[in-house]
Amino acid sequence: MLKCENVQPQLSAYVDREMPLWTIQLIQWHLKRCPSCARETMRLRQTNKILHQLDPVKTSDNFLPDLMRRAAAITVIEKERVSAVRRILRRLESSFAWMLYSFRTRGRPYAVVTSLAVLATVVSITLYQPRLTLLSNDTVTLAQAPTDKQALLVEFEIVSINQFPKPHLSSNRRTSPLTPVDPHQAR
Amino acid sequence: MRTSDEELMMKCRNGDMSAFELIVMRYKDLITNFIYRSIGDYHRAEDLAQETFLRVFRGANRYEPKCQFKNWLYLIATNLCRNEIRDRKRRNTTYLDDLVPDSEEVSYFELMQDVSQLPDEVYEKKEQQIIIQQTINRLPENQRLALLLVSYQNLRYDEIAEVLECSVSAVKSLIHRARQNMKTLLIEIGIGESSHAKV
Ligand SMILES: [Zn+2]
Repeated sequence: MLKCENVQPQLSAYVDREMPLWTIQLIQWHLKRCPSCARETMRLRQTNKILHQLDPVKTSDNFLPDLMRRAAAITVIEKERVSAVRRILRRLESSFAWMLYSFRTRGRPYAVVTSLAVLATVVSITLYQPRLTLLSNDTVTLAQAPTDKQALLVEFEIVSINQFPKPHLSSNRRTSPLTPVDPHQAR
Repeated sequence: MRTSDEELMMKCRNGDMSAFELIVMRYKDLITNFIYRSIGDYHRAEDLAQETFLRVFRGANRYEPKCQFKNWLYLIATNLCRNEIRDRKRRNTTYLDDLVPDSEEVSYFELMQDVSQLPDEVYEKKEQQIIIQQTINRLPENQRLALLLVSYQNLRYDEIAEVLECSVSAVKSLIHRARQNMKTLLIEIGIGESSHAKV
């Protein structure tokens, strides 16, 4: 037999029917026999009713056009900022997420067919032999492109020369104009 | 067949503006209502609803279809509401003048004078609505948000748990306490039945 102190904290969930059917039936059984819990349930229902007296509001007419204009402005800024490579990466990433979503929603046959297609693509890419001369040319042009990452790399190299001078250079450090000054000695 | 929110979001990730527009059309009234009831200021609620959708748009490429879109949307709106509630508490302002959407910059008294011209039942209804909204505003932040999500947005407890980032049992107790507080506050101001009334 359920006790009032166990029933009362459950009553709001009971009103919302947020419990298993057998619990609902147990509580119903208790409510038929307990006027105080029944009254409490009625009050909770009444509070709900009062809350529902509030009329819903609607957005104003210019809400949607305003919002779409602001979203379009974001797209323009993004397009200017995001390079072509990153856009391709993003597209790949989203199609991958889309694939995962499709697996979950459409089931096994779809997953098998897509996996086979991916496998075929991977195999053909692996079998394809790139010509090394072309690849080296590409590296040259890439190295000339001043991207942020490469700038960072260059900086890092300079710092590492500064802090760890090679042993054979340290002997003629003062004479060679190419060797950077050791920051510890300078201080 | 209706395209699911999740599918629309995947299109949105690829920069499909019409998919985004559809999402907004589906949820703009629901989200505006939710924010409006949480902060009690219609004009600010529209601003924050726009901000919610812009965040959805900006975050579209981070959206993972494994989580239900609706919950993600309410999570964003809830976080904006929380910030607004805290800001208001800090500034200690209550925007009574904005309780009714079709009034521009009217004070509570002007508002009541304005509605006093209306037939009695309509006047009473408006007055009652203002009082109910004020009572909602008096609930603690989390109780208020949980109660609004269950009462007006018809979210299930497990969905609310995801939105409020807590456990289902925490949601259960939040909603129970919110209703009990609401009940007491309403009885205090003379709406609802007193504890000694007959069943
Ligand atoms: Zn009882």
